[in-house]
Amino acid sequence: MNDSIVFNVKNLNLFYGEKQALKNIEIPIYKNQITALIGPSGCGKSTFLRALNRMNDLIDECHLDGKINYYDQDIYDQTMDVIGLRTHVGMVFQKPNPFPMSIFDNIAYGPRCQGIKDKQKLKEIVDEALKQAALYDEVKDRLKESALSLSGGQQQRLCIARTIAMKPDVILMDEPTSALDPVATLKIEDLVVELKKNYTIIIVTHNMQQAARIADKTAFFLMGELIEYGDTSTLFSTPQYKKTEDYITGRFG
Amino acid sequence: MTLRTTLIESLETLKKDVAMMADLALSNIREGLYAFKNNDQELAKQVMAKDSEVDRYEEEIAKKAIQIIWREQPLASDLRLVTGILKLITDIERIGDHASDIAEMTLHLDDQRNKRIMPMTSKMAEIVENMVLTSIEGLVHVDESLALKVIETDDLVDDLFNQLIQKMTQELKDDKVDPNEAIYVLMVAKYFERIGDHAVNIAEWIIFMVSGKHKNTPLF
Repeated sequence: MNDSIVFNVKNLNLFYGEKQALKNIEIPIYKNQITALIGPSGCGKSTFLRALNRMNDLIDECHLDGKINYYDQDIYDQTMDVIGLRTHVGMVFQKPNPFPMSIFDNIAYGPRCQGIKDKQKLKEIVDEALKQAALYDEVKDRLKESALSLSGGQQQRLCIARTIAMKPDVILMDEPTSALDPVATLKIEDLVVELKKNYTIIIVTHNMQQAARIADKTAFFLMGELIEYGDTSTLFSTPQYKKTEDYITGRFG
Repeated sequence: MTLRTTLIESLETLKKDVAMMADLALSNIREGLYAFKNNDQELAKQVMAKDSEVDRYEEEIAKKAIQIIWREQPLASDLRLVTGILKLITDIERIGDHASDIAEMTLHLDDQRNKRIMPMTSKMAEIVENMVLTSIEGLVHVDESLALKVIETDDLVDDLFNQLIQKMTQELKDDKVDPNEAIYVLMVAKYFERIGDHAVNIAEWIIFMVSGKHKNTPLF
């Protein structure tokens, strides 16, 4: 287990206009671990996830105070290269969102934007990303086909491959299996566990069993507050706070 | 607002079933001892036959607990309760076995019981019955303080058992007790001592239900 901290969040308050969505969040995110964010809808977990690669910048009236350090860099510092940050901190969304182009081009899109033109190099990147996303064997003979021809689960693994192709350090996942069937969900879960060897993963999920199955650490959010954060095994078996206990045992929702 | 009504109701039913199983085992202990004290061979046979009812309870409770696990996927205190119950019903089942064992001892003796030795066994029986009762009360209320009380009381039972051995040894030396009877009385006392140990095991699972730790070891 690697104990080095990738993100160190200190006293984070985030507002949408007047409404405060995150209150005084303090949390370390550890390297090569899977951290699950759980909590009821509107609790702030997705807002927190999106704050980690400044996706909230795209929302008008969103502002924050406090610090999010990515290693020793304050990611909200004015000198921060936001595009560079999003290269290091990739994101996979709830609904698979392949581009309307071939499987190959979906994955090569990012590296091409970064200026890689060499066909052999691009092929290597695409193959490697597909292999890491456990999709290679299923699509290796039809890389020129439209990505839209893939099943939902395959599309989501393609989106993960597209993220991996950018060689990120961290992958943020916002409910990546909520639109998938149980088999596709388990494939993604296996993949995520495999990926943590090379990446740090932060995943928002409404499925508590999923968090219990795959996460090393779990954070429970409620009404913008981080109520409890710790080892997943402890949080789901002997939570420290009654609010956590009440939520995970379904005493309120 | 409570969302998981089915789970909560299932857990309450499970606790009630365990209490009923324990009631049956306790009633068998009382009747087993009565049969032994009073040489009531008919009652002894009835107690032995009733042990299969305790076994059936164990199976039914285990089935319900497993069903709760796969159907409701309980977490935190609910998970600790279900898994704790799955473990402690084995101890209640063993208590039932010992009640049957005590009754069976009746069949080996057909004379009057030794008046000097039986009171000590009766005292042990009284304390042990209370330990089982308290442990089940501790389960129903998931009350750690009751569980701790049971664990503390066990020392008293062990002391009484040791005193009984010493007394019995002396009486055998003095030729005041029939050796055959001494063996069976001592066996009955040993069964009560074991029932006390099972009550302690139940108490330890109740502490697990509260803390997630079994004998100070975290199980998660």
